This record gives sequence, structure tokens and C-alpha cells, in this order.
Amino acid sequence: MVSIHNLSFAFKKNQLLFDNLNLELQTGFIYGLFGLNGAGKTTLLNHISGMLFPKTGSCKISGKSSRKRYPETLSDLFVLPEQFDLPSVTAESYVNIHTPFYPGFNVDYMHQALREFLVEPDKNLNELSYGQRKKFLIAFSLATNASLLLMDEPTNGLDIPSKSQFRKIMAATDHSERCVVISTHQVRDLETMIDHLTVLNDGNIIFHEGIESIAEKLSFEKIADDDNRFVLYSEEIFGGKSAILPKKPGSKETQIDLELLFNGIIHKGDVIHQQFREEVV
Amino acid sequence: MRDPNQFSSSFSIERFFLVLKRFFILNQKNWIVGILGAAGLIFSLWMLPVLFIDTPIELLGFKMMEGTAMFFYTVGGLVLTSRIFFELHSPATAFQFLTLPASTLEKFTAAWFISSVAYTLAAVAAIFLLGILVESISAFKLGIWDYFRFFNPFEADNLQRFAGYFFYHSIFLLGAIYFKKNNFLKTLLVIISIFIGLFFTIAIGGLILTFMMITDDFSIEYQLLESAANWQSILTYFIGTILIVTFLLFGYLQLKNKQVA
Repeated sequence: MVSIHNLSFAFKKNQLLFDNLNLELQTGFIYGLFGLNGAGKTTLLNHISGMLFPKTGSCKISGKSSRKRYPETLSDLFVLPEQFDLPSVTAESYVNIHTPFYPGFNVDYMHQALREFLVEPDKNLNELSYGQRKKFLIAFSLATNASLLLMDEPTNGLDIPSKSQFRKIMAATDHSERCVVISTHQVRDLETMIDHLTVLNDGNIIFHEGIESIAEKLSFEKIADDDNRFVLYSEEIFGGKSAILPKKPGSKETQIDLELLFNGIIHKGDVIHQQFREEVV
Repeated sequence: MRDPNQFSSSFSIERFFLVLKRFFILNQKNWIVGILGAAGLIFSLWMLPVLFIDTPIELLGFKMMEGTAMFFYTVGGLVLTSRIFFELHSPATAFQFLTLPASTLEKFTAAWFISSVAYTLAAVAAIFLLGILVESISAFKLGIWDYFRFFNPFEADNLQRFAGYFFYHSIFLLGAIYFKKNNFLKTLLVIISIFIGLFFTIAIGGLILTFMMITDDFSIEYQLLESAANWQSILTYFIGTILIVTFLLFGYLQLKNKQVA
């Protein structure tokens, strides 16, 4: 679906943000794109959507260069930015203007999602709160049925019930024929949703593994301070440590702690990555 | 899976009209307020002499306001044109325009069409109606309808004004894409700077030419100058058309290479 090859990009001369970045994203997956502030998550999404052009290298969607912004590519892609302004029209009018551009748009789904999110379609979009507008755009993005959905911090600005509604809607939507990329800092909001973890740090992809593979290779446990087992990464918690351990054959299944894993990748990336390399060798 | 040929890269008249409709809906408030505001202002200007100078209303036909109306048409159109790509210049809105599933050519031609052809038709209709209103008030007051005249957009003067608008419009359309803020003022400043530059270039060239002619180093065939004067009008339109096409081409390329702000 998305192929990025040797992509280099700099906002300022001689200050490369991406240096020969490579990434492949497949249809049928929900990718969680994580990274520290300034890692380049939004910039990467802007490259994928063709809103930024690489200095060198290429970014292709289904074999077509994203920077060309072909209508057929754009009609199968939707970007949900973190910060956005919507025009001063009603939600209904916005839908009427834009739906003809998306051949797969599902109006019934849109109305259903708006009902679920408690957004009134006859209100002017500028009269809605930021959270309401975000829910409107989330509903719109899902209703486009675009094969590539890029969501930048979708849960930012949403209240607790709305976050739960978002998870419910995402879980109830069929993503088998689409590729969803969710960039976020709020790891816990999306823990149950994503099936592939991609970590971007200093302009490089430092981790890119499926949840199944992570579950196979790593174990997430609460251990005592005097536990002698080999620990890949740990964090002090009340009454012991929260730790990432290499998974041994026959050991019990544990819930993946994405926040812990992210911290582990950032601080001890090589050690964790080694677990995934070992099998290949 | 979706049919990949459902949306093609070649120019689609259907998508062109969809983009046109989008431009209209997103800008309609500004345009309607602009046109009605200008019409109201022209009407008030027409009424001023009646109210304050005690000029008999019957002496004032719409003809005397026609130039003012055309001036408002030009300036108003250029201001609206400068704002046509407002979405492009903020990261919070650029995504909607840049990722809108239409080609750059469709987006650019739709913007050109709505701010030049469609706007001109709307302005002509508004001036025509305003003319009828003013003429009717005069004729009704006077009781004589013989002098009643309709606004004629096909008069030579008006056609020339339309041509002038289309010329400046192509520059302001380029400015609407190129500049991030204060597009109208910045484009105006660039035009004024170019005119000043041209004025000085021509003046210095003229001085050098005069000096050379005085010192007999250079002679010019006066017949040639006379012949050039005959061609001046055709040449003006020819060069003007080339410049319009050039500015539009630059505008299109600017839009094609536009990245998120």
C-alpha cells in the first residue's frame, strides 16, 4: 500500500529530519506510529499524503508517487490532522460538498457515526467545540472508505466518553481492506486497537513489528526487585518493577504494555530489537 | 475492492464542476456581501448629490456611475481573487485543499473560472440591475422614460475594462498562491514596483536615445515609428494575452508544487 524508499527530507538546509528512511505499510493493518515530540511523525504523514515532497527518495501509494497528488490516489486516501479548521458550513453541507470526491463514501455510516458521537449534523461546524469537530472529521474519514487512512493524534481533544466511542467505532469498522496509520502520544488510548507498532526516533524508523510478533517474542510482567531473570527493560513501580522480558517457549501469555514497550524501545532499542533479529539469524 | 479506473488522472469536467461548487459554497458569503456592499455603496454615492448638493434626481442617470461601478467590479474582483486560495496558507486548512481528490489543473482552472468568468457574469448582472434601479428612480421622478438606458457590457469602454480585469486577475491569482498573508496588498505592491521599474527603464532609455539623436550618432526612421503606432493596439492585446497565459502558467506551477505551510 505505502512504500517509502530512501526518503530524505530537511526543513532547514543541512539539518536532515529523515535520512534514507525506508518503510512499507500493508493493507489490512492498523499501524500505531509512535515517537517523541519532534521525531517527525506528522512530517512522515505529510509525506505519505503528498503534502510534503521528499528531498531525495520516494514515497508511493499503490505504486504511484504521492507527491504527484493524482486524483485517484487522493480519492482513496484521507488525512485526519491533529490541528485543523473546518469551513463555516453545516456538517450536512460539508458532507454534500465533499462526498462526490470519494466514490466509496458511505452516507449511512456517516450518519450512524455522528449519532454515536452525539454530533448534530445541522449545526454549523464553526459552532461546534474542538472535540465535536474532531469527532465529525473522524466520522467523515471513516465514512470515506478510503484504503489509506492517516490519523494524527485522533484522540487529542476528545473527552473520556468520546475516546471510548472512538475505540468502539474503530473496533466495529471493517479495516480488512484498508491501511490505517495512527500517530499518537496517547499510547493507552489505542492499545487495543493497533496491530502493528512503528516507532520513529530522530527521523529513523527504529522499530516496526506486528503485535503478534511482539507477543511471541516479549513478555510483559510485574517482577520483584530481587528477580534474577534477564530483563530487557524495566521501570520502577510501587512494590517492584514493570519489566519487558524475552519470551521463553511455553511461558504464559501476557498483555502487551505499549507504553512500557515504547519507553523500552526509546531507551534500550538495541536490546529489544535484538530479540526480533535473533530468529532471522 | 474499488474500480481503479473510477477516478482517472486526466482532466475531468465532472470534478472541475465539483471543485467549482466547493469554491462557491465556501466563498459565497464573502462574495454576496462584497457584491451587495459595493452595489449599496454605488447607490449611496449616486444618492449623495441628491441629498446634500440638492442636485435634481432627474439629471443623474446611471451613466455617470458606470465608471465607478466598473472600478468596484475590478477592485472587488481582485480582492476576492486574492483570497480564493486562503485554505492553502495555513497548516490547519491546507490538508483539505491539497488532499482534495481533484487534479491541480482542475483546482486551478476552477479557481480561475469562478473568480474571472463567473464573477464577471455575476458583477455584470448586479451592475445591470443597479442600472435599472437608478434609471427607474430617475425616470419615475421625472415622469419621462425616453432617456432610460440599460447598462451595456458590450460597449467598447466596458469591454476594455473587462480585458483589463482579466489581465490583472491573472497576476492576483498567482499572488493568491504565492503569498501567504496579505495577498492583495503584496501583489499590488509588486505590480506598482514593476511599473516604477519600467517607468525608470523607459525614461533612462528615452534619455539615452535622445542624447544619441542629438549627437547624430543615431537616427531613427520616422515612418517606422508611425507604422509601429498603428500596430500599438494589436500589439498591446497580443502582449497582454501572452502575459496572461504566462502568469496563469506560473500560478498553476506554484499550485502544483505547493506543500503544506
